Amino acid sequence: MRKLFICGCLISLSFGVSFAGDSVIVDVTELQSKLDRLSQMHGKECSPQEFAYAETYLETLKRGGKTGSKEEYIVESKFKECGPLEIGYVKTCIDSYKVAKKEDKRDIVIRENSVDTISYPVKINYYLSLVEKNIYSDKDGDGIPCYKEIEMGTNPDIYDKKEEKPQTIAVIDKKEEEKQHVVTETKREDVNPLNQPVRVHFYFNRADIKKEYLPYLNVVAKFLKMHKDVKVKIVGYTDNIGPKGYNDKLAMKRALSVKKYLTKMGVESDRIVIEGIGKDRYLVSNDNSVDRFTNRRAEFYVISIAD
Amino acid sequence: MRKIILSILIFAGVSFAQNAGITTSEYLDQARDALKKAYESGAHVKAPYEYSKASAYYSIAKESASNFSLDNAVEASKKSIEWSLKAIEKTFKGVEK
Repeated sequence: MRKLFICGCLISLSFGVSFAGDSVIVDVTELQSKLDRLSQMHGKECSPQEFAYAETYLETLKRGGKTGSKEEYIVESKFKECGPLEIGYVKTCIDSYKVAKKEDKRDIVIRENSVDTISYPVKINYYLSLVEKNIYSDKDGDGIPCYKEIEMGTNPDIYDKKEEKPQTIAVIDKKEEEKQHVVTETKREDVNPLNQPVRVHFYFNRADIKKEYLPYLNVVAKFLKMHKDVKVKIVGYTDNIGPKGYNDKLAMKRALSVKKYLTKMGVESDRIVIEGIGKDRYLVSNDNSVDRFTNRRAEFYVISIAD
Repeated sequence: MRKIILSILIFAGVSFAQNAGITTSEYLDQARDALKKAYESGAHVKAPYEYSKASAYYSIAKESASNFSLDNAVEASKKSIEWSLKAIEKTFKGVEK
């Protein structure tokens, strides 16, 4: 009986404690400033759904209680030398004190202690984090983040090509050789495959072309067949393993195998010059197998525009 | 024409809700209907911010109702209807342009 009485007392006491604090102060300064910052960074345009949710929850949080501001003060005091347990410690031991008001006010909301009061700030923070993520995201994959696209006035959901400066190539017209008439052609970089770095990599101590590179070589062959006025130089390279003489020969073999493939595809052999550099001009260090594979390569260079 | 019919329907619903002294669940129903109409008119694509505001208020209304804070639920439902109307209005404005 006595145990039951004690238990009852404890339970009623715990209920009393849990319901004692009826109101809670929620500091909304940080949430509001974060929302304002994201709004300035075009959060509403980049992530309308999440932004609307965050804003709505914040509005509801504010409306559900009494809004106000919290002012903070700093008290600076000087003490005399006193014993720790002296009677009238405050009166006798404080020499002087100064009260200073903090400049920044903090917006607060006094709300009832409910589930919403705890869950809303969590939800707001969650949605704001999503907004922030979407602001910096690149939905269309053009390398420009959403907020920058809004600033530039472009659509963040549509791929925008970066502006490319047209490249000017001087071409000597074959038919009007006597007049030495120079015709200028403007070509965009993405049209000319040889302006892009075309490399063929090889296995260790091998000169045969890997199947993966055949599509690239087909593009090069097609380009060379279309542009009869272009001559190319294929240069073979090796990694740092082995003697120099052997590597020079191997580099030459690699360049030759690429040339053979191109001639097989219909490119005139006199338009292709080959060279073997061997153990030199590494792209990366030869510290590991991947780097050595990168260095074992054949590269294309446009050497001249044919007469 | 569709705009006018939708607006009249929603207005009639809201005014009915205000006059009839209806319950929280009926407010919630009205908010859901308005949200549904906004979705059917394509507001979720053409006016995503407004539609999301309506949707967020409807979620809050449901949460409040489930926590027995009925006044907040009614308030949030009204806001949801208001934002649904805004979303529909913006959607049809976009079409007219």
